Amino acid sequence: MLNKLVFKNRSLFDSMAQAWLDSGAQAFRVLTDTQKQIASWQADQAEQLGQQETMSAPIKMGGQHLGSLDVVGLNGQSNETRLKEEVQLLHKWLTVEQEVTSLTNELIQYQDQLLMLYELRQTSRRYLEHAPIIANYLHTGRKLLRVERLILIRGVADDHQAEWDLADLEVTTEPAEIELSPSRETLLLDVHRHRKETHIQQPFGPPDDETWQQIFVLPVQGQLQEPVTLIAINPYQGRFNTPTKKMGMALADLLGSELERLALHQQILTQARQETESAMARDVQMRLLPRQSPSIQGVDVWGMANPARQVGGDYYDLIEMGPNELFFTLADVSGKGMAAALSMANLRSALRTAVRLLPQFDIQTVLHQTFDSLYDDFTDVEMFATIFCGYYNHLKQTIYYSNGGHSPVIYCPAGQPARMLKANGPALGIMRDAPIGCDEISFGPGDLILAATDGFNEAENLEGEMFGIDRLLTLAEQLNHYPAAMIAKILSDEILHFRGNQPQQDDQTIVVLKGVT
Amino acid sequence: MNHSDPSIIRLEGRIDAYQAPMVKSSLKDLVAKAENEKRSAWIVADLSQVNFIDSAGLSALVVGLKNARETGGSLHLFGIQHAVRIILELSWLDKAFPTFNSELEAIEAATVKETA
Repeated sequence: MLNKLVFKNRSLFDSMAQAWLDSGAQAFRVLTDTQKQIASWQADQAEQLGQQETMSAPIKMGGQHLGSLDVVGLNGQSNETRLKEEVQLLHKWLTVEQEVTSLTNELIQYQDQLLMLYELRQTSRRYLEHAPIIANYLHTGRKLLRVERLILIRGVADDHQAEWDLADLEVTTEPAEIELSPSRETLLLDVHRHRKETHIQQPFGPPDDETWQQIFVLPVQGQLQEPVTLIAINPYQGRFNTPTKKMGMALADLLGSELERLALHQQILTQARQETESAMARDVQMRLLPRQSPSIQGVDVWGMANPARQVGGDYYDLIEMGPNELFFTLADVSGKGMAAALSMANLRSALRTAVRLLPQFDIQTVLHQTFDSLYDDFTDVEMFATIFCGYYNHLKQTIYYSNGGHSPVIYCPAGQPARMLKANGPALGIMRDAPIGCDEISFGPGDLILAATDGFNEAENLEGEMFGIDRLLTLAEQLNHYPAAMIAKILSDEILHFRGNQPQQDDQTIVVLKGVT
Repeated sequence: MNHSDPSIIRLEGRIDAYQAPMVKSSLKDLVAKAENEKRSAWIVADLSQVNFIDSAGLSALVVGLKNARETGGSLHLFGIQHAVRIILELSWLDKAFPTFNSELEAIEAATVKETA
């Protein structure tokens, strides 16, 4: 230390030495506590120094002997006083020097801590899971706070269900096994539940446990799914001073915002996943519907579906049975969303199987067979499906239909009033071995069949009024000179206009058959 | 099965998507009560104050009918207004439900069946 002082302030020592030499001294020396020479100045014509009288003043600092100032070739009271004063000056220098060094060290340490905090934040951002982020905070946090142990508790502490992460255990994605005495565990869970910054000195007296001298509790704040608390145990410096406590609070704040970020990220991720899944489900369901209208003699046919959610329980199908024959169906499975969509897919495959595999096709048997195969499945989940099936034969200019509880189905012969085609059997899922009838209507050029789901007639406007069947009947009469696709489009637009800002409540599906020449 | 009077449930207003869950759970409660008492669930529903029913409402009544039938009982309807009758007819449900003109007839039919 003395060495450093001389080296840094050489010119000052030079002038101090010169003043002594000018006063007649033969030499001026700075020595270490072991009498090693740090620096020495001699008069130009110095005699043999060894035989000269020497004054020596010790340099001490906080009781420690650092070295001495020696003046050779002078003595006397006044010279000794002068030397002592110069030593006192040196003491002041040394004290100031030491304070500067200690302040510099503190500053460096503080900067290091800030850097660690910054790096902690940067590295944590790379992680998208709880475990590595918490491990990172615990490992770095322990160094930052200079404590023996740093513990993180999360979860509801009631019934001792909280999970623990301990800084001094291996990084693990599983909750760490804790090895704490029951009294320690109780204390930690209590402070975790308490959720206040707390400094506890001597948490345990003898005989229980004396190795925990002090703990500092830091609740982690933020919009978190579960309470989180950091607990620092036993600072290396012996006590938690204000800077350490502040650093702990900063650490807890940072961790809180990090966990918030993670929760938000996971929420967005889950939402995106659900949206992707339901978009895929919608895609699959849309593929179960006809992609184009079949071309059949004497009929212009068009169908379209518009689920209220991503997927729905409505189903329609148009199957070409030959150049002059068309099987068409429209069904509405009760309920909405994924459950209805699954039942709809089930219904489609049962119906299609019946249509394709029956040795002699007739719609009554198709519906019977479908009802038989699905009754138990639908009953188990308290579901129903109303189904309208029609078979158009161009050569007979006739439509045969079986209607399992479905409405609205509107029939508007050219130039005549529109009327409803009532059900001639119950909906699927109402009774086993249900009797299903089959009726026929003539169907020639200009005639119109309009089968829709209740999303049309039960659409509500802002006043809570329903579109209703009467409006549909009137529209059928007004629109029957248009092509099928146009009629479907105008009807959908009418419903949209009627609803105004009221959101679509139910799936809307429609099949339109228009007799043409 | 022990003899007992049928349960009566009185519905009113619009039985739509908002009302239907309540109707469904009331009917379920009546069926569960009968089952607990080890008797068939004979329920009579008064529709005289119901002016509208939609597909969700129909579905609630049908579930009630099915559940009641499973216990050996049934769900009788009476006091059906014109608008509601049309909806029942359109969906064939006028044939699925035993329907009656008056409360007395509906109750008698349920009671006679029970004691028979």
